Amino acid sequence: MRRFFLAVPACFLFLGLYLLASSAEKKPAESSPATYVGNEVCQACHAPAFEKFSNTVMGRIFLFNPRNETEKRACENCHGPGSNHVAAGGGKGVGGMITFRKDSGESAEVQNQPCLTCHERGIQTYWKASTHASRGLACVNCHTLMEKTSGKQLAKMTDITPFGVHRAEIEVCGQCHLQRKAQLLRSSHMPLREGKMVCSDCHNPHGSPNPAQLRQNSVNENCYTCHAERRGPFLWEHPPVLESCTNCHEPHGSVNDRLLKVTDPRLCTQCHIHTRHPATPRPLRPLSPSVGPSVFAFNRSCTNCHSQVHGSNHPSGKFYTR
Amino acid sequence: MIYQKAILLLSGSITAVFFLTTPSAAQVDLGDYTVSGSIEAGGMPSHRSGNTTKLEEYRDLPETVVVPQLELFIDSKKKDFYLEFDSLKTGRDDQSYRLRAGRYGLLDLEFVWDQIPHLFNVDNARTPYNMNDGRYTLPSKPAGTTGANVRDWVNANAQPVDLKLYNGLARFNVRYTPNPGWTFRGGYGSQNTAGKRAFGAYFGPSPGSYNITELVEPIDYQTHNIELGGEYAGEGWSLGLTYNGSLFHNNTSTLTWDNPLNTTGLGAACVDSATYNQGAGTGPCRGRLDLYPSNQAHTFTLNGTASLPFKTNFIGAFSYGWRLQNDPFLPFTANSAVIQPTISRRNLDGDVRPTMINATLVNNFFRDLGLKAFYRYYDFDNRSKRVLLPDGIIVNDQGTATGDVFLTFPYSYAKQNVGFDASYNVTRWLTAKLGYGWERMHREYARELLNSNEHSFGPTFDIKPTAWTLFRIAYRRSIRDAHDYDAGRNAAVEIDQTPEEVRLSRLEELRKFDQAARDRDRFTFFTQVSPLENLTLHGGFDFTNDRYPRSVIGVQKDIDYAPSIGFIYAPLEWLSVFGDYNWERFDWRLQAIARNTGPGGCPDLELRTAENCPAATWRSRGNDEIHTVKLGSDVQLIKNLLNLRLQYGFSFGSSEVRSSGNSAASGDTGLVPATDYPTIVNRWHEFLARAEYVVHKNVALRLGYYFNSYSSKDAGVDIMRIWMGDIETPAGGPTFSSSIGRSIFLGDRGKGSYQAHIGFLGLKLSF
Repeated sequence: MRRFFLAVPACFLFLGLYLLASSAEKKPAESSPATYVGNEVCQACHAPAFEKFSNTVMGRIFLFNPRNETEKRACENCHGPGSNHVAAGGGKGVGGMITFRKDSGESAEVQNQPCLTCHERGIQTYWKASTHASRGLACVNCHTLMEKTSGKQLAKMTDITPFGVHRAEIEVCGQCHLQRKAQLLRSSHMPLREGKMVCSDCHNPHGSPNPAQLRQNSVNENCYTCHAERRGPFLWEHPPVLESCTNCHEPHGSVNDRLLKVTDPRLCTQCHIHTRHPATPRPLRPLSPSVGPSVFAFNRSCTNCHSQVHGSNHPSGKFYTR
Repeated sequence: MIYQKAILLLSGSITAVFFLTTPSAAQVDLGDYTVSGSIEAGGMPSHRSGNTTKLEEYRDLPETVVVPQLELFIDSKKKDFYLEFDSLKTGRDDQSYRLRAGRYGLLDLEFVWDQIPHLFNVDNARTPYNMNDGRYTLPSKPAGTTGANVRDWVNANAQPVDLKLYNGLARFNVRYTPNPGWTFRGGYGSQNTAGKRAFGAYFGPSPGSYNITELVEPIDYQTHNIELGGEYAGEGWSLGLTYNGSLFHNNTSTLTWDNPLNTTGLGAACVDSATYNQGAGTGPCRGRLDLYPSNQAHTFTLNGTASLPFKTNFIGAFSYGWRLQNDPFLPFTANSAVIQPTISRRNLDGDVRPTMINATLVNNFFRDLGLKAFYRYYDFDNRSKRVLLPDGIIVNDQGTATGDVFLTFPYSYAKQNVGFDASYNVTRWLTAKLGYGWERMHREYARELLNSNEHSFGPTFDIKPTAWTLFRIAYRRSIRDAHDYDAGRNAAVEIDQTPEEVRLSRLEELRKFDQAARDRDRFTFFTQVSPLENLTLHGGFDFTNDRYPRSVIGVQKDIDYAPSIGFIYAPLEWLSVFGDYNWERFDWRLQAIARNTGPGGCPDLELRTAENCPAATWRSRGNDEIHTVKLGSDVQLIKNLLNLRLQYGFSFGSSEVRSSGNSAASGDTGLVPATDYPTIVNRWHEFLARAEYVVHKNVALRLGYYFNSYSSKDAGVDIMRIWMGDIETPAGGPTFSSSIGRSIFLGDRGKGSYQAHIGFLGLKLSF
C-alpha cells in the first residue's frame, strides 16, 4: 500500500515534467546547407561582442594570429557557418547557428563539439571519459569565451579584496558541489578560502584516469605534490597511511584539528584496539581516586608520543616514537 | 625587507606613470605597444582582541598601508605579443606575483612567486630548550625529579616560541606550440618551507613510566619540481609523453634533545644510564629522532587517444615511476650506556615503483546510447631492501635491545578497477545511466587482508525538462568482501613469530575499517531551477552510509548526510542577493574490548569476544555536526558610480564523542566506566562590506569593513599549559600521575578565540 502511495505522486511528477519539456520551443528545420561568410560580416551586427572577444586569448589567436584555415574562421569556427543566419536577417536561433546561451536548447554534446575540435589534448585528454562529460556538462557551464575574465576564462570573476582573495574557480565548482564548497569554511582547512589554492590544484575537472578526477595517479601522490616530506619510503611504514591519506584526513575541511575525519584518540582507536594502551576510553579528568587524567585525551592525544605516525626511518622507530 | 621595499618602489613607479598620462586616457601609448593596468593601495586600520592566530592562519592582515592588487598589461598593437604582470598583497607575508608573456598561439611563458604563511600558534607556546639547527639543549634542569621540581623549573625557564611556517613557491612554466599539432611544455618549481611546528616526543620504556617533552620541530624543506613534456595531436589521435621529477631535501633531518629528567648534569657533564628511573633521575641524557628523510620521485607518463571505427574513442595512459630514499640510518640510540644492536644495512635503499595503466573505451555508435568501459591498474611496487634487526630495537633510548628478531617487509599493494557505464537518452530531457564497477585490492603481507573485492553498481538520472530546470540523481551501492581477514598474517615477515603466536596478542573479532567487509550506500541529489530570469534556486543532498557487517570489534558504521539549499535573486536591475545554507552531520559507531587480562572474569585476549566478555566491552559513538551559512548582496547605489557589496559567512561546528560500557587499563584496580569527552565546538563569523565610488573614469575610491570572529571550545586543548601535573582531581585522589607531572608541553592553544574589526580606505587607479 505504501508503494502505491509513493508511485502515484511519482507518476504525476514525471507526467508534469514531460508536459513541461514537451512545451519547450523546438528549433525550426534548416533550409540549404550554410556556408562561411567571414568575420567581418559577423562584426557588422555583433560589434560589441566582437570587440570583447578580440581581447581574449582565443580572440587574439583567431582574429589576429590564426595558424590554419580552421582558426581563420574565428566566429564561425564555434558558431557554425553563418550564411543562412545572414540571409534570414539574423536573430536568436535563426539559421542553424550553434548558440551557447543557457536557454538555447542546444545539447551539451553539440555545444562541446567545437571546443573539442582543438581542446582534446593536454589536460582535456580524458574529457570524453570523464564524469562531467557523462553527466552532460557543457564547457560553457564553467567557461565563458566572449569576454576576458580570469586566466582560465571561467564564468565567474575572482574577487580581490584587501582582506582576502576569493577565487573564481571555487565559485564555479561550488555551483554544483555544494557540500564541498561548504566544507571549505570549516575550522580546519587548507588555504582555499584564502585564495592560495583552488580545486584544480588537486583535481582535473576535464577528466583524468585517476579516482575522483585527481591529477596524480593516487590520493597520496596528489598530496605529496605539496607535502613531499611524507613521501618516504620509510624503514617503518604505517600501512593505512601509505595506502591513502584520506583514511585519516578529510582534505576539503573538517571540524576536527589537522583535517582529521574523526577526533583523536578515537581516530586511532578505530584500528588500534588490541595493542597496548589506547583501547581504554580514558576521561579527560580523573573520575575516581584510582583513575588519573589521561594524556591520551588531551593535547595531541596519541601523537603526544607517537609523533612519527606517517612513517619512521629510524631503526628504533617501529612504534613511531623516534 | 629589501624585497618588500623594491616592490613598493615598483608600485610607486607605476603610480607615477599613471600621473604622467592624461586623466582621460584609457591606456598608455608606447610606440608599437599599449600599456594598461591598475593599482590599488590604501590603509587598513584595525581593532583586534583575543588570540588572532586563527585570523591570520593563511594570510597577512597588517595594520598599515597595503597594496592589495597591482596589474600591468603590455599589449602589442599588432595583437601578437603580450605581457601581463599582476601582484596581490604586495610586500606582505602572503604576497604573490605573476608575470606572463608570450606570443599568441605560439609561446607562453609564466613566472609565479607565491608565499603562503601558515600560523599554528603565536604568542602562546613556550619551551625551555635552546634550539639550534636540530640540536636542542637545556641551559638548566630541574632541581629534582618530583613533579613540583619540574613545575617550578619549566615555569621559570620556558621562553616564548612562535609556531608558524612560511611556504615560498616559485614556478616557471613555458609552453611552446609551433603549430596546432605540436605542444611542448616545460616547467620548474621550487618550494621552500621553513618554520616551526609542535610535535610530541618522550622518554621512558612504557606508557606507565615516561616523561613527555613536547618539542618544536625545525622545518627547513626544499623541494625542486621539474616537468618536461611533448604532445602531438593529429586527425583523430594524439600522443603525449611527460616527465615529472621531484627532489625533496630536508635540511634538518635529525633532531637531538636533552632529557630534562636526567639530573646528573648539563650538556657534556650529563651521565647516560641504560636504566630509566623517573625518581632517581637516570636514563638517557638525550634523545635522537629521525625527521623526514630526503627523497626523490621521477615519473614518466605516456598518454594517447585514438578515434576508432563505429564512433569509438580510445583513451589510454601508462605511467611508471621511481620513489627513492637512501638517507643513512641513525644509530639505534643516542644513549652511550646502551649497547647498540646490530642492523643488516646502512640505509634502506628505498625504491618504490608506482605503475599506473588505464585504458578507456567510449562508444556513441547507437543513437542516444553512450557506452563506456575502462580498466585501471595501479601497482605500488615497493622494492626497498629488507632490513634485518636480529637483536630487536632500543625503545626510546633506554634499556636493552628488545630481543625480537625483526625483518622488515617493504609494504606493497596493487589495485585493479574495471568499470562499465551505459547511458541512454530516454527522451530529450531525460538521460538514464547504469554503472557497474569492480575494485580488487591486493596487499602484500604486513596487513591483515590479502585480497578484497568490491562491487558497486547503481543508476544515475539527469533530468532537464526545460532550459531552466535541472535535476541530477545518483545512487550507488557498493559491497566489499573481506573473507581472508587474518590477524596473524604479518607474522614471520616482520617479526620472528608464527601466525599463531601473533594471533595470541590480537582480538579475533577486530576488523580494521579500511580492510573490513563493508556495505556502502551513496546517494546524491542536485537541482537547479530558474523559474524567473532573475531567480535561481539550487539545492542538493549528499548521503553516504557505510556499514561493517562483520566487524564485531572496530568501526561498526558511519553515516554522512549533507543537505544544501541556496538562491541567487536579482529583483531589480541594481540589486542582487544570494544565499547558501549547508548542514552536514557525520556519525560513527565503534565497539571495543579492554585488553588487559582479568577484568570481569574475561578469558585471554585471543579468546576474548564481545559475547564472552561483555563486562569489558565498551562502545563509542561520535557525531560531527556543522552548519554553514553564506548571505550576500550586490547593490548599485548609483549606476556605474557607486557599488556596494555586503557578504556574511557563518560556520558552526561541533564534534561529540560519547562512550558507554566498562573498560580497564594497566594500573586500574577494576573496571571503570567508559566516559564521554566534552564536545568540541567552534564558531566562525565573517562579515564584509565593500563600497566602490568611481570618482573619475580612472580613479575609484574604495571603502571596506571586515569583521571576523572565531571562538572554539576544545577541552583537550584549552586546558593546556606547559606543565599539566596539577590537573584538577576529586578529593582523595592522586594529584597527578607521576609521568604527567614529570612531563613538559609547549602549552600552545592555537584555537584561541578572537574578534577583529578591520577597515580599508584606498584608491584604485586605472590606466
